[in-house]
Amino acid sequence: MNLKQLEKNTAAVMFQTGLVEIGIGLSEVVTSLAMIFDDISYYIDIFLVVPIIFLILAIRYIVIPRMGIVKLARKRMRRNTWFIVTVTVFLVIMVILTITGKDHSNAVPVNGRLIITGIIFFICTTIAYFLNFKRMYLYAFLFAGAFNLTEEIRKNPGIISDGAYVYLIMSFLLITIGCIYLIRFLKKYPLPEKISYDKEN
Amino acid sequence: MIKKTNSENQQVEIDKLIHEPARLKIIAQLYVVESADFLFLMRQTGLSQGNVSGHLSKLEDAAYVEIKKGYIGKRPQTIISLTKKGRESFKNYIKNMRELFDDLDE
Repeated sequence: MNLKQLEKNTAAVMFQTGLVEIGIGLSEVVTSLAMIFDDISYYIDIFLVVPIIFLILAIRYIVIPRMGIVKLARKRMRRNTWFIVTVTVFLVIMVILTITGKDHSNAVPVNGRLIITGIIFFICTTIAYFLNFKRMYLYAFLFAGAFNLTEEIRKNPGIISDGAYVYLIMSFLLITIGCIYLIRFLKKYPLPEKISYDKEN
Repeated sequence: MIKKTNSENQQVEIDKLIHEPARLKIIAQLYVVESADFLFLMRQTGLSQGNVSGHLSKLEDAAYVEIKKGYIGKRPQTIISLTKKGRESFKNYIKNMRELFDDLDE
């Protein structure tokens, strides 16, 4: 019995639901649509609350009734908080890059591209390692690839109308992966009948 | 308690309450978290409701776990956590088991 691995697996229980992928995918859908429909982007950006509301409701009504509730050890909570902050900063950077990148003449130069790719890899692999979210290693390649492809497309306008479609395709891919994991989770953990601790048993 | 001797012929006490496989799973799971509800414990240990209830009763009687019952809306909720005595006992159990196998040739 490996207690360290048990603790890591317990902390990573949430990732088997696929909700993280769906949440990130939905956020990317909104930001991509905001890039594509430039003129009404500010109105579309408001819909960034949708993934957040979706996650809260999904955890409350889908995950908790099937999985139960756990309060992680304080050390793990502090680490998780740090990484939630990291993910939030990462998402904000990606949103800013997406929004400010709407002007096609402002493709990021190669050196800047390498730096941003490095940042993407660093954040994703750090999250994957410390949160035991192994799929994030794969998503590091996906996010970095999508970013570089978008920048490449911007250098050659007219081939594909807008690099935002790359993010849209990536987001649908993530949502699909998330849905597959969610369906697996729902099959593995059906809604239990009344569960309670009965001391007399 | 089960008493065994290590290589130096010292008696090593193994806590039989923890040593039972199902209870060991339950206590190990509770050891790595601050608290968990009954359903989570069931899911993570793979034990049935009756099984978990039975073992928790024994652990509660020995004051190894603390059990708090409440409600979330209309749904009953039972939160379980290891007591200080439970954590110390588990640490001692791990230490004693390690001592027991330390000198074993592979």
